[in-house]
Amino acid sequence: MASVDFRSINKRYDALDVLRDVDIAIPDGEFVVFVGPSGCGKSTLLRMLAGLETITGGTISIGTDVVNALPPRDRDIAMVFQNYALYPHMSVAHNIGFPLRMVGTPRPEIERRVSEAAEMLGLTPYLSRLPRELSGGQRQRVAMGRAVVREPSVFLFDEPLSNLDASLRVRMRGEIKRLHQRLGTTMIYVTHDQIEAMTLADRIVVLRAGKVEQIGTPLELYNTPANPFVAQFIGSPSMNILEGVIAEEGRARIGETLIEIGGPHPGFSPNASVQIGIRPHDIALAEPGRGALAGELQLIEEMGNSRLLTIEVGGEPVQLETQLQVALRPGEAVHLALSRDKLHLFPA
Amino acid sequence: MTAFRASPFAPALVVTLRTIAIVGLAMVVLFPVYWMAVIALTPTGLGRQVMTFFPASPTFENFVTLFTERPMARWIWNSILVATLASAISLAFGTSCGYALSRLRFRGAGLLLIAVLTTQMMPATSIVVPLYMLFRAWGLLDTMHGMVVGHVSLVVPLATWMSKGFFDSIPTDLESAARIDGCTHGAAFVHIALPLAMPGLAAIFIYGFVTSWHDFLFSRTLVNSQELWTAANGISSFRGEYFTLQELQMAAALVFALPVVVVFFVMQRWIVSGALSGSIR
Repeated sequence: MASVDFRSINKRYDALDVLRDVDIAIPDGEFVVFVGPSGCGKSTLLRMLAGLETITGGTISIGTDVVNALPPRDRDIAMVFQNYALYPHMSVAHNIGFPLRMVGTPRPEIERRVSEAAEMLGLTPYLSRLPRELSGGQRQRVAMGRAVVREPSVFLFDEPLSNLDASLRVRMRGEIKRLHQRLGTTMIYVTHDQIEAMTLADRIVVLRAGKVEQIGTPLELYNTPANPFVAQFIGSPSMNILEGVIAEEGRARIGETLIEIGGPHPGFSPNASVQIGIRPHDIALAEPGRGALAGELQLIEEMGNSRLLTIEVGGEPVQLETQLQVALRPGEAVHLALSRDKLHLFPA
Repeated sequence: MTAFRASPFAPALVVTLRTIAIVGLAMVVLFPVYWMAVIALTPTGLGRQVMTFFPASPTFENFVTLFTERPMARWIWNSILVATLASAISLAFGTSCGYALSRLRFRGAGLLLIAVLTTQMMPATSIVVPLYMLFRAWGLLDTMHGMVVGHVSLVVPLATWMSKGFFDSIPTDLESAARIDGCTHGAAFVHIALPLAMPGLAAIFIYGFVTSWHDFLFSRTLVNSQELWTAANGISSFRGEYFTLQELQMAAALVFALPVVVVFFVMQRWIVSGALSGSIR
């Protein structure tokens, strides 16, 4: 059990800045998810913590120790790789027991802990099999078993579910969450999937192009995103961002339409351009009239419990999620009402 | 291969012609080996008078002569010693170089690889004279270890390339995982990379053994004393300026071919496919 501290972390490959001034403090026992689009540096950050990548600048601490110069085996961490990285020439039991053998644990002790881990992950019938004789989900469990058996102070997960099919992914996601609840060990999890991030994390770190965009609990990120990137990255379907101008106190103009924005909004002076964000389920179809945005319906996607409408407003697509099951046809003129209390204003 | 499989509807004539062609080709390929055996079983001196396809009165006297009156056992032993040492050293050297070239990123790695390959492009004939001069200066001429070194220089470049290729095919994540699981770089190499590269290493060993075993040029040039000759050198000694002991030579050639077959059968159990499957994805 240990806290993890990234301080002013920089990573540079030749002329390429991969990470710039990253500061993240993770208290003991927390489940933190690094999320961001490909190439944002999230995996690099994890591999630096694991000791598999050098640190260009800054310090990484695990517990009270700065680990910058420590080799991976001395960091007291365990890692589950995206591709599982099982040792193909060893049986499941040997794979899981490998970390214990490497530190010279006595044989009976290894056998006990391997069978415990196997029991916990439902791998007992497969202990004598080779990795190639297992299914994707079973391999994933072996990789987790190999991490669990060491009782490390920090668990690292590098996109561990991205090679599984959708239903298995949801199931394994639950198992990882349960594992954390059971062990209470600090876990750091990297993914590009915001749903995984939302469902698993105590706190989420959103990264983009090597910089931290926002750190917060899933609901903080969802309810009060710090900028349009986080706003659009977290939540599905993603938030609409409309360009507008502050008109007067409590109003903004989008195209020719004046809409209510509530307020007061300190930091937004009249005539300042503004980006107005609103989630698809906070928009409703409305009668033409004051404050209603006029648009043309382009696309209807049925999702069963709701339907997703794509409407062109002033040349830009706006998505609307509704449970109204009225007859609609693409090409129809529609009007949209934006829920005043659900608007997110960002400086343009 | 499917294209060549006889379908049940192929006309019998096509099948027959194809079979005849294959059998004919096999006979062309195998006949020299067969003839080698025929001559080897013919009494000494009578090889030129064989009129049929079978030895008239088969005898093992040539083999007996080889091992009693000629130092064939000694030559074979020399060959085994030189080939085993040369391929083992090449394997150790090539494997460590290949691993380094596969895993370490350093300036000039690409150039180094090309340079290594270039040495392989040199015909052995063109390096044997400079090698002779070097060996003379270092006092390695007419020594067993000199010949081993010579053969190592023949085998190492390709061994390096081959092992780099095998290590490239092993995902680096496996070693990363091992290092997190408590291994040093070296231990990760020994516990993970090396066992997984085993099929490749077996192939390299066979290649090195066969190359060294077959070598005639180096052993002819770098060694003079008859007791240091390898078998390849020994076989050629049956050919005189005016007279060739064909029966002895063929018997020696048969004996010469055996160890390579043995080495191949011993090593081939390591050459299994699919050793890596299941590690990732």
